[in-house]
Amino acid sequence: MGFYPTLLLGITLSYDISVEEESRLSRLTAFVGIAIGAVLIVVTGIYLVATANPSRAGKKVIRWVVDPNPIRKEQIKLFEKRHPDIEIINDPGADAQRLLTQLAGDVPPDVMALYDPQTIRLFAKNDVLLDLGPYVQKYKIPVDKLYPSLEPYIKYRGKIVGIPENCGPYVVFYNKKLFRDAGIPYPKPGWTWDECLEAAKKLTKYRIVRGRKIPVQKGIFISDGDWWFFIWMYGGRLFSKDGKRCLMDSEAVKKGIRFWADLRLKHHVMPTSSEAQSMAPTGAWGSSALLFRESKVAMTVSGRWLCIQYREQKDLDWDVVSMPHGPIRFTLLASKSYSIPKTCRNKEAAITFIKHLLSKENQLLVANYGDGIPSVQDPEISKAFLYNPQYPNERNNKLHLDEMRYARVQEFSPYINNLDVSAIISVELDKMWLKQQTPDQACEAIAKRINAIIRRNIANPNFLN
Amino acid sequence: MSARQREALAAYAFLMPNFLGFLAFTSIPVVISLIMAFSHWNIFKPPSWVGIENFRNLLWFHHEGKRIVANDPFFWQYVYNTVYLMAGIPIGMAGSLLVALMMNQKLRGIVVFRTIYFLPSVCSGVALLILWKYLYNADIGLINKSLRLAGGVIYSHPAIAIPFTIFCALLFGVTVVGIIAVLLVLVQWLSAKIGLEWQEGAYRVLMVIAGAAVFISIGIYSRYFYETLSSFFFSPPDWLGTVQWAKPSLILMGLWGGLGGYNMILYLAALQGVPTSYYEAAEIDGAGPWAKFWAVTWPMISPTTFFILVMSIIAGFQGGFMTANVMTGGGPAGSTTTIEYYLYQTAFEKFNMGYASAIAWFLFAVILILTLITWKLGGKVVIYE
Repeated sequence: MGFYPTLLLGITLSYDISVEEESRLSRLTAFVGIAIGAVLIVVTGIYLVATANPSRAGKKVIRWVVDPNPIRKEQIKLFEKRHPDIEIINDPGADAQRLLTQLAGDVPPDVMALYDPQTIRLFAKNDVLLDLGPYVQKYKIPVDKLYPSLEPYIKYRGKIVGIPENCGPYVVFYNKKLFRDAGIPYPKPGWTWDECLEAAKKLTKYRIVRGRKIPVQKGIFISDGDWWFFIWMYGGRLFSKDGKRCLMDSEAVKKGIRFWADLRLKHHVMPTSSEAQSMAPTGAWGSSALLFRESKVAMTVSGRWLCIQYREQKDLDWDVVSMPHGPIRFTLLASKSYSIPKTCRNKEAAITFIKHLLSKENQLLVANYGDGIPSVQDPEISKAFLYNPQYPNERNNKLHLDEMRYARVQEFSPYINNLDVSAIISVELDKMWLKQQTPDQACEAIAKRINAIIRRNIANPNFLN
Repeated sequence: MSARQREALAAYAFLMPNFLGFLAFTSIPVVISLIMAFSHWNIFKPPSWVGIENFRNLLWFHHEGKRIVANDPFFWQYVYNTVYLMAGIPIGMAGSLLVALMMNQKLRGIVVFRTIYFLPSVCSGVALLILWKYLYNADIGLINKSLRLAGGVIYSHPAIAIPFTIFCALLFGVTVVGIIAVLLVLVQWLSAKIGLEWQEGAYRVLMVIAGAAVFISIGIYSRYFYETLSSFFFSPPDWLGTVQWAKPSLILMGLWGGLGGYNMILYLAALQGVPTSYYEAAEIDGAGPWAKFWAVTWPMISPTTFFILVMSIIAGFQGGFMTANVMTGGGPAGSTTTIEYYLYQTAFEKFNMGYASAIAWFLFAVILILTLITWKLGGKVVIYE
């Protein structure tokens, strides 16, 4: 029995019984009927609104699912000024879980942000993303001007599935005042990990409270999830080229992880998670940024987007320098790509918007805001990016562009879910940080566990399909 | 249509909304999840039937050289975590009963105390968890700061340090002896069940031996005991940051919220339902407070104890999501990840709905079997008036 028969039954009963003595019962029955009817109307209304193809007074309305960065308002304003026939709604929050729910519920976004190559690959592999190739030709979108190292954010099996608007190689942010106070010269681009360690040792300070050493300042902060620097440090790799083997147990990787462990466990220049929590107890995203903002760490590793936060703190005297390197120089590249789902109902308007995101005006807007660097290689955009008169202290923006030469994206294997990889590495490295196992044991355990899953997945036709 | 038929129809009409809701949001998803447990479904594409593959990956083992290794070693670690965290159930139940007994006194202003004890249950869960996260912070947390302060006072004055250590040693010894006593009672009871009666006085002799062994051991290792205790105060543990302490810390936190919560209310209602005539009869027979508790109160509230036990076991297996999500992220080294949190990660982070459904159905089977066992055993012990 569905809602409608129940509603009718309730109304009929209330009518019949109202002439009887049990009038109270009949009123209650009527209320039940009315309540069900009201719920039904609301649910139907929500469904119709959610699945409708919105258009307002001749305008196309497209939904842009992306993070709620304050710059989105300005970007939308700029776009709507250029395209008065299209209205953009910023739907904040583009985590994969939310996107999947929208796609599964047949209320697909028109343009969605995908934040890492693994997610792009996952969506593309499952045939969710529109092939942008024909549109790129038709609308002359300058994909060829994008940095070549962004390819994993753009293509899947030769098809263009995403357009990155900006990107950022990881660099070291350092507190100039703390360097001056410690009498250390500012670091120079191309410095090594050994030089970085020496500086970090001099920048680590404690105070003694009742015989107990309490850290008040640490040399460097590197997130526990940023293992890539140390996997690659001595030329190691996480996966073999065909993705069928995890190489964490190779000597090159072990050597890098040993160095990382020593930063915290031997030299104590990097705060433990507990110390970081104590020094800047936010416990949320931005903890590392806060540690740096509060001068609790002298150096922190991240991308240019942290400028947005550091600009707010006027008394913070900071600059950037390249990532330290070992025998091989490289850095990690982060970006986000904009894609259009195949089920999008406003494809033409969505592609117009994506094209606009690569326009000079939009790229300059993003660059000046302090977010990543423009993904389009254009002399005029680069020139504008190098110096923003509003922020005269930021004279080192060229470094971000220079570092693109050394930037590479995270590795992944098609034979294992990336979240399984992260979970295994986190658990085993946690044991290393807790001194329950040596760095070598951690590397071997990671390789063993990941390889066991890869073997199982290769043997399983359901996984590969 | 007769008045009775109309009344019946009206009753069905009243039941219908709930029935429809149950059908739409509970029954149908339950049936679908059972089908999902035998399928591969990543939301993007329609589910495909994979037979028992999900269960094989979840529960089976394979050979790696000479070693037998679980197909999903994470899962068994999380099962262990979940069971470990349930160690708080008996302690929590005993505590709730104790609090209920205290709150059952006819004292002036007792309602205020009852409200205070119930407050943790009405406070926002996430806010409380964040509060506890700060309390447990290794450096700036109130707990460790208090321990260090107390340690500074106690261990800088030998006149305080030595009696304090002796007191702690005695407390530790009595606790160990108490646990041995309870275990021996259990062994004695089980022996009687299989027809082995203990020699008269055997229990007392064993207890004397155990007591002597415990206290002599404490005496021999007194120096070690002193050093361990002082180092505990001067360098308190990183409660949520170490594998050894993370789970006990969560149990302790659960006890704080659980002692005066719904279990206390249930016990309080049960205690107030015990007829006073039983106590009067017991008093006439010369029973003291302890005898009255064991002979009257305990049997009379046994249905409530049984209910709380069953519900706690179910909640224990289904718990741990919020603490893992808000406080620990399931770490360190996965030591606070429970089955429920793993299920969430599998379904909504890895989008492996089939595997997550298999975890859910495994969980259901375990809860069902344990509830049936509890029901079977409890039926013999519980006394219904």
